[in-house]
Amino acid sequence: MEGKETLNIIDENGVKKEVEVLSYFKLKSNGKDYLIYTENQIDENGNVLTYTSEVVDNGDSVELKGIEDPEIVNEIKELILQAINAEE
Amino acid sequence: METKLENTEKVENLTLGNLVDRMPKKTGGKAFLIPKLFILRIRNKWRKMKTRLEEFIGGELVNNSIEKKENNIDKKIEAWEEYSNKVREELRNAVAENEEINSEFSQENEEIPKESSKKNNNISQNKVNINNISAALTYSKDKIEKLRQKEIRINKKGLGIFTLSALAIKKLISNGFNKIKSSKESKKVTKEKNASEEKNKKLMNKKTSNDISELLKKILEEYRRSNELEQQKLEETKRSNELKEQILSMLVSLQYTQESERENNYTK
Repeated sequence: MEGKETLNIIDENGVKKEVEVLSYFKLKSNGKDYLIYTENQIDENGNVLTYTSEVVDNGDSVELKGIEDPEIVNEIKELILQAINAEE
Repeated sequence: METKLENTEKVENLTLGNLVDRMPKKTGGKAFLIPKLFILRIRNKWRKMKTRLEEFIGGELVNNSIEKKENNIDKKIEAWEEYSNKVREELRNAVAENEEINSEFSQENEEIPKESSKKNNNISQNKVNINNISAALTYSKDKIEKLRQKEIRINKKGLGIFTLSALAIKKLISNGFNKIKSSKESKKVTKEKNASEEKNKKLMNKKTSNDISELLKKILEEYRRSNELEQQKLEETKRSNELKEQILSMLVSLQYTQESERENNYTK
């Protein structure tokens, strides 16, 4: 993954892996930080699987929590769509 | 004295033509004992008087009435009335047409907001709105570097799983979220902007159509005034012609009186 922003993370199974960071941002509606990343997995349609997690800074470590609130998920989804369709 | 003018005859029935015709054409006998030369002189005098009277009244004497002149005036009045009615009709049609245009304008203006609001909804979904309020703040690479220095653990994947094309990923990375508003805000601002634009358009159209109708009203008013003035002039002309006719008949009666006096004096 050269020329891209990457992070080394430890997944739920304790396995270390390198992921590509697509966006690290703060959502103004709730003031929380979120990370969109990908492990570059491709689905049957040739699209790339991406994950969005809440970033919780615990000082020395950082926890990537899964989003359970559907409203937040929809809001982030809307933002992603707008960013993709925006004029550069 | 025979063949003298009967006293029972009224002056009004006499005309210049009658008087000239009554003048005896030959002397002697039971006619007037007036020398032929004198008769000729009187005839010439009558003819001159007739000419002068015709010049005075500005028309031709036909059976002691100014029929031709009156007919001309009546015809003129009729023609003018016809013309003015035609002009009024045209102006009424123009005003009616203007009102139709006004109603079309108002219909169009009602339709325009609906169409433009539809367009704006589509645009807001597909286009970036550059404004001061953004829904999210994309962190710079320095922030990512700080994360990198810590141990990062995934707790749970959650619901935020999306599939994106390679191109979409590229755009997401390059555009970021800093220029993106929340969808609610963008729709609200666009709607307000469109509403004010449509209001201005309506005002402009209304003003234009009002100006046109005002102008047409003024033109109609001017035509009415000029028609009234013409009518007044024609009536005055008619009155003056009536006066001239009265003067003419008075002159005729005066001439008759003078001539009969002369005849009486001469026969004596």
